[in-house]
Amino acid sequence: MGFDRRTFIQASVGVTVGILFTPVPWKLADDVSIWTQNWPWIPKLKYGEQLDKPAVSKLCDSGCAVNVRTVAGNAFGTEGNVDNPLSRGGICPICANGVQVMNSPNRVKGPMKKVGDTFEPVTWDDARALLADKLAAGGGKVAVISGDQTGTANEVFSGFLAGLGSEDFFQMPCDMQAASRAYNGVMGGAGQVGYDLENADYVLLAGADAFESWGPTVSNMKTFSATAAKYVFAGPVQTRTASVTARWVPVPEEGMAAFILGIAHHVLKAGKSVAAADFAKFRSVVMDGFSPAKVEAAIGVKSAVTAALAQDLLAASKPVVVPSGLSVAAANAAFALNLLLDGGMVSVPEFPKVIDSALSVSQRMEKDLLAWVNKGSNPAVALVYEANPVYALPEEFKAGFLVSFSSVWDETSEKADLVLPATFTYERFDDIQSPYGIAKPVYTAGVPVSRKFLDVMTPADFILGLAAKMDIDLGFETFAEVIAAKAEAVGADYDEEVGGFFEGETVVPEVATLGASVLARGAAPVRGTGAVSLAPYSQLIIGSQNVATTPNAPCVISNNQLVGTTMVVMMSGMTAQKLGVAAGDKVKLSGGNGEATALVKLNEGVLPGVVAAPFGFGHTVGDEFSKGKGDNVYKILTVRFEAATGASVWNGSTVNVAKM
Amino acid sequence: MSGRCGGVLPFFLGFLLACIVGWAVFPPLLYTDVEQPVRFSHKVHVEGQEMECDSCHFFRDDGSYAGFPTNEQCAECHAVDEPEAVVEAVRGVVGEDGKLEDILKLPVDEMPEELTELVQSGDEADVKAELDYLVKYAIQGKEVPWLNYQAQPDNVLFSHKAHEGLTFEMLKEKHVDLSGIVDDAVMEQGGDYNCNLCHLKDIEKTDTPPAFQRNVLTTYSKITMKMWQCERCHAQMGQVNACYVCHK
Amino acid sequence: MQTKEFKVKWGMVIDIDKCTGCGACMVACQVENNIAPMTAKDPHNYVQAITTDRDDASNKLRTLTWMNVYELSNGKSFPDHEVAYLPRPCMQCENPACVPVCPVVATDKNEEGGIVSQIYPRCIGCRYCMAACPYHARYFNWWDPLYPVGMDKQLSPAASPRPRGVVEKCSFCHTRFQQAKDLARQNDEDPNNLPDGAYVTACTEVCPTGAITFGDLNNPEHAVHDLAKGPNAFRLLEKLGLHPQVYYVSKREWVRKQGDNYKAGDKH
Repeated sequence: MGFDRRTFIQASVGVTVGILFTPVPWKLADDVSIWTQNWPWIPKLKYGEQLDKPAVSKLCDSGCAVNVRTVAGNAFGTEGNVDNPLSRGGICPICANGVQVMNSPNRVKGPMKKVGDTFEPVTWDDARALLADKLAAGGGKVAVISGDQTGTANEVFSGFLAGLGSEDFFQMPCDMQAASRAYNGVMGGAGQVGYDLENADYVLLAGADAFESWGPTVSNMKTFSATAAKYVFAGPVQTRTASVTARWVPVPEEGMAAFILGIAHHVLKAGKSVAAADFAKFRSVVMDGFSPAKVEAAIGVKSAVTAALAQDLLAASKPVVVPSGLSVAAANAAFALNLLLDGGMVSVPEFPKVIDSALSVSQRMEKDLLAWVNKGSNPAVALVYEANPVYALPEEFKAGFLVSFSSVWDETSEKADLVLPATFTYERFDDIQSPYGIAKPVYTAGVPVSRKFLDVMTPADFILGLAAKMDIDLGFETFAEVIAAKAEAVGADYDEEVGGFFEGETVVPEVATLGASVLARGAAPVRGTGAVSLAPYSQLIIGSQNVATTPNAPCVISNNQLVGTTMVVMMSGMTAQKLGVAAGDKVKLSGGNGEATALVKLNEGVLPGVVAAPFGFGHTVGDEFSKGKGDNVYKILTVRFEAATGASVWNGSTVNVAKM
Repeated sequence: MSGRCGGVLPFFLGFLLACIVGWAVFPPLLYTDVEQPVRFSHKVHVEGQEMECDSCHFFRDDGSYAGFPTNEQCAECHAVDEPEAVVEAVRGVVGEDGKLEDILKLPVDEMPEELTELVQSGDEADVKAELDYLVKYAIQGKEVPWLNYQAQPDNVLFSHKAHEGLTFEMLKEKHVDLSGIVDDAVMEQGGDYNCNLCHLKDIEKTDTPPAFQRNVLTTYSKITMKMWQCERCHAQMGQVNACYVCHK
Repeated sequence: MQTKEFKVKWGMVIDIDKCTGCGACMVACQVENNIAPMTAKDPHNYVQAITTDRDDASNKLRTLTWMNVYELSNGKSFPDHEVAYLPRPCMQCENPACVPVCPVVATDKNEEGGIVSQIYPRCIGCRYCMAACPYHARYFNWWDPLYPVGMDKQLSPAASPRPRGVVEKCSFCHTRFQQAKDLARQNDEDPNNLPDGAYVTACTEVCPTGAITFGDLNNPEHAVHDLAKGPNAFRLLEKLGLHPQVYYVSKREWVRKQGDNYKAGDKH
């Protein structure tokens, strides 16, 4: 039998039939289908022991007390810390994304120095030597700009600065600064102002977006939901805070001091008084200058509204008024009203310093960065710690030699001459001292809970090393020792493995004056000359002054804030009509030193004559989650200097709006 | 036999060939043997050191199961107090540019004392395995990437805790038929531990761990349990077979 | 239609009067469930020049938001305008619309607790379930999960990563349920009778105002049992008869009315 075509076909049929009686087709079909479930580019999970490790997170301004969730020793998520009163299990949307920021490719991977227009890696030793030279050459013309409001790292920086013979320590502009300058400066009080929301039964949030971005946000929110107090929000925009308060009272931002004094007018009429040296003058300033009719004329808030609010405040057993913004006058007015009401405003004692030459908290808040920049100051060396002044200041910030201590690439790092990458808070010792607004002295010390995987260093450690090199004795060799000493000085129960915590008692606020002479001149509203007022607002999900939009945030950010790469501004129908724009129109806002492009969205929750624009967009450096998204509202603010207090403020900013 | 009907033989030969290829040649081709990263001897630890199974394989306080021991657990006996010093000593021998692993190619008496003094085994083969572990993992602070014979994909959540109380008596009582899923010998033998129902039988007696038979297509182990196997036992035990009972 | 009854019925009660819309729940959900950030460029795509970019996160038709916060407006003009925020997880309906339409049984509601499952390797991506769900709680994976370099160093062990082409949705953080049961077993407690708070979802846990309460709707010892029966409690689109296991609470009548989206004069 030869092997012919027929044989071949017969054999082939045999093979085909035979193969069906073997596992080959069935096993292959099964395995191939399983193979399609595991593409190599789909990430695989890693397993192991799951532990929650307490830590501090300082992405938001006030800082969150968190638990970092780990698997087999690797961090993967962040949750609130149930045992800490700042958190009580809650967490803000920025800090909830902390681990993702820590692992982001936008981290600075090692120390870099600028050569020409590019950056070159340097060793830490070279960086230290370079900076020491610059500082020596600078001859005391050194400034520190800190974006950290609550950390003991500020003591290291300010102590070092003192050792160099400079007093130019600045905080980034913040509400805490205005409050401190009003309370500790103008009014002569001691300690830090706090608001006892826990025991209050009536809270007037005078511009304070307390459940979204102001003060110890998470603590505020927890307290809000746990108590039955009545909350009223006053401000130009119906913010997220206003969405849950009993009432929203539309008040223009620049009119907040007048609005508060308008209420004080009724309270004074009801016979309330304060034992302060200038009470009589205060009384006459308010009674003459802030009568219901005058307030209505100045800021458009009806006299019936201020009268009703005053009634409510007077009827409450523990009322509290919470101011916000950079206006020292508004803070002063609110504190005076609180003192008249004898309600829930408290004084939170400062914790003792551990570095003698360092500034105290209230001293740190004294200096006005914007005024200093506005003056054209150009220090030989500027050290920027956990801040992004190049992005978040309306004015251009200059320095002979700019050093950025930042964990991620941002505008300030890009402009810096030396970038010294910081460890992320989960990789270092760090702490939170009573964030502004909290009602009790609270101290939280955090320890490293994640291995560092980049060539980064804790800024305070670097400064301590630099100080030693320059023969400046700060009394410590490492920041871990500083934290341990601080915890001990505070009286915290501290352990190097798990951190520490302390909660103290408040004291009754006492002031020397009510700031009558300041209020007489500083409380009147001042508005720019543009077509409409600009009401900037913050949403933590978009980012903070120091931290850009986090990786998981973009899909949370609503189309009411950003569409594509264009920011959205909101205004009422009436305003739109006046400006001749309609919903969805692309407009150009011009004001201050810049311009911004935006889409119009109609929102009846915005005071007529006002355009509400979100802070936090318009980054020009960073990762794809923030870079090139929207425009930077800081750049269209108009900075002015408040009468009497001299504080640089941007309330009353206006913009012109042109359809594109 | 006419030419037209002579097709039976070629057909039969073809059929036979296909069967031989399909049953004998093909299956082994589908799997490739992979050795464990370290020749871990259960025998040395269980028989020699009289360790209990749950010294390494235990339930954590949260009810999760620690399947493979971590370096931290190994360090209870195989502690490396100063790993940096050992790494340095090894570097001294292999040179700055060499790989730490190169030290393993040298005879033991040429290795630095910092390393050899850590070895606890006596037998030559065991010393080699222990050095493997020390050099490749312990002193470098790396976890051993043990191969899990029974690894399930990420979309499966198997709770050891839920199966902890399952006894052979219960299976007998419910007349659970696990033929084709569990080795008959395991069912006959019974015992206090139910691990053998799913895991490699008698692994605790092995000196050299059996090779991991990796499916070249799916990359799973040959003995990885399939869904129908889980489901059959669940069904017979009266357990729900809803998707979320096992999937995530 | 038959509704399957369970001894335990996991449910949520969301107090809209406490929700500020901050978005912490949405971030926590993404972290817990391995939802990758939206990245436009794919470094593994070597033919980028001829393909389109992956979607931007502001395209809300392509984002994966198992938990999504909606903004509600009372529609009135200044100064009577009011705003509220409504977080929307999967409703885990007692009588789900998505389950019967699935041609491959990739989604079912059979497990004790009444959580509607979604099995990704089984899903063929036909999206019938998405069309069926009136709550838009289901999402189609338009893109493979792509983490920027380093961000997948450690993902959450709680949820398996999904490839593109499958539908996914909120699972009430189901792995936490499994873990809670394991913990109960470890402590010699009954895994089928978990105490209040032993199992909560990631969004519940992180919510700074505690707007979300989670528990067993059938268990009188769980807070949700009574909250769901409160005078101001309602469910979304109740008239459809899907019986969601997620309840909402609001003292504001306009919010409650929008919850059922009915026109004046409609019967419901």
